[in-house]
Parts: sequence; structure tokens; C-alpha cells
Amino acid sequence: MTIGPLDLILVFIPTYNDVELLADLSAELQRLGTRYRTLIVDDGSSASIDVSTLAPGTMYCRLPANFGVGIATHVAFDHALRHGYQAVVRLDADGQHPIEHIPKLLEPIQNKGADLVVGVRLNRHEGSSIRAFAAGLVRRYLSVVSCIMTRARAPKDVNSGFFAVSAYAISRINRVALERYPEPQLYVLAGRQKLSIVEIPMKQQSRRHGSSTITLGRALGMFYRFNIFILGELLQRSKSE
Amino acid sequence: MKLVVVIALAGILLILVRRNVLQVDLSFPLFVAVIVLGFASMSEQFIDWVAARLDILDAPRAIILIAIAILLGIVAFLTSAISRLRHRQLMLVRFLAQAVLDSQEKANTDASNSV
Repeated sequence: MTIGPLDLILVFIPTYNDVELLADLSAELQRLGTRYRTLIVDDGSSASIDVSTLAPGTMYCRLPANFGVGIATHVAFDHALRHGYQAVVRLDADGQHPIEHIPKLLEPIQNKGADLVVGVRLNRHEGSSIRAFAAGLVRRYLSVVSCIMTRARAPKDVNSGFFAVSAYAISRINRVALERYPEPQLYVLAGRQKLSIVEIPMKQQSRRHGSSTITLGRALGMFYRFNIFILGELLQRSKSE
Repeated sequence: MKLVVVIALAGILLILVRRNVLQVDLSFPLFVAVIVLGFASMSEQFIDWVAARLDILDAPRAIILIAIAILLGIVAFLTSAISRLRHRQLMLVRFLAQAVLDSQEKANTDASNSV
């Protein structure tokens, strides 16, 4: 729990082949103030990143292969815990998340002692293609299961990759191995550990660069992993009861 | 002849381990498989006993069942070995990433202190 001014905040951007906007994003983040430090974790992109174009002070780490957002998130969490950051904000590299909302995202951690603040996308149900319909169904399923598992503590949008998390929450969540697309898992873990979760409505911007990495195969994999994770959590609960 | 085949297979495994082509821990289920299948092929009473237990009318078919069970066991063993390796690989990646980021963090802290 953190109540009081946050002096050091890590803004973490995982990226896999979304390299075009990184220079702009790092420059925009630098304008937020000196208490923010940016960390870009390149998850084994095949596209090369010109580090010299990043804003001064931006930290950059390239993983030797593509391990998934879960490991990239662990790298950021490990770094935050090691260097005394009070909060971590996660941002997508494709420009969909509004940088100007970051201070708003941190407010509940700073003023109300929240542990996790999630940017809930108001326009997440937009789109009329078959793909959007299928994605909507999967999202609804993930949302309902997360809600049941956490006794309604999980946010409505369990796929949102725009969130802020306190150091205390990181120390609790970082013990569990996060999967390739870790957002639902992260929110379920936070909810089940009775961490305080706050939702901030926001409008997700359209993708400024690149395309989604979630193919049909990866979506099936994500669905399978989530269900296995939920079954594991249920077994753990019945064991502890 | 059966005994010769079993000994030859065990010998090949031993050579592979000695030449570091097979890691000794990972060769263990293969040795067990050779011993069990060797024993099964040489002991008719054992096959008859297994077939009777599993209600298999044609006793020699029990060997196929034993072989499939052994193969599944080997696959499960190797999969768990790969999972362990993957876990260690991820721990190593996290450790190395920290080493890379520590120096950058230090440079940032030094820069902000000098301001």
C-alpha cells in the first residue's frame, strides 16, 4: 500500500517488432517529468531498434529471443523492486494507450492506497468483423471467469495492457510465473490476493503502428493457458480449504 | 538372440552417454525401457500374466501395450525435463536482463544526482 507522493515511477513498454514509435513514446514520457523513468523491454524483435533515437535516460533491454510479455513484465518488475521504484506503469508500444492518462492512473495509488489501477477501455467492444466478434466472446468469457474467481474484484476489462501497479502489489505478484499474455492472470492474481484494484475508464486510441501479435494459434494458446491457470488456482483453493 | 539384442541396445545407450551425446539423467528412462522390454520379450509367463490381468485374448499383444506405456512414460519424462530447462532458461534471461539494466539505472541515478 502506498499513500503519499510517488517519487520514482517506472514506465515500462514491452515491444515485439513495434519499433517505429519508441522514439516518440520515450520523448513524450520524458516530458511527464523527472520522477518517471522509461524502460523498454524488447522481446526479441527481428526489427532493429536504433537506441540513439530514444530520449536520454531511457533504459533499454533486448531479450535474446521472443519469450512473451510475461517474461518482459517480470524483467520490469524485477528491476522496479531492485531499484526502489514505488510504482510501475505498463504501456503498449503501438501508441494505443494515452500517455496523458498516466498521472490519472497513478492517482489512486498515491492518494487512496490502491495497489493496482487498470485503464478500462470504453471502446473495447468496437468492431464488426468476425474476428472482433470472436475476440469479444473470448473477452467476455475471461471477464466472467475472472469475476467469479476474484469475487468481483477483477476489472471489467481483463485484457487491458494499460495499468499501474504499486511496489507492494509487484512484490506479491512477481512470485508467480507470468504467461505469454499475462493480463488476465495478473488481474486474477491481484484479486485473489485481495489487493485493492481500481478501474479508470479511458478510450483506447487506434493503433498508430504495427498489428496485433495475437494470431488464431496464439489466441487458442492464451485461452488454454488461462484455463489451466484457473484450474490450478481452483485446486490450490480446495487444497487450502 | 533376444538377449543379444537387449545387450546391444544397452551397449549403444552406454556409448552415447560416454560420448556425451546423451546426458546421463536423460538416458535413465531409456535404460529402464530396454530392461523392461527385454524382460517382457524373454519371459512368456510375464506376458501371459499381463494379458490375463488386462483381459487381452492374444497374449503377445500385451507387449505392444507395454511398449506404448513405456513410450508415454519416456515422453512425459522428457517433456518434464524440457519444462525444467525452460524454467531455468527464463530465470537466466531475467538475471541477465537485470545485469544489463543495473548499469543503465546507475547512469540515470548519477545523472540525476549531478543535476
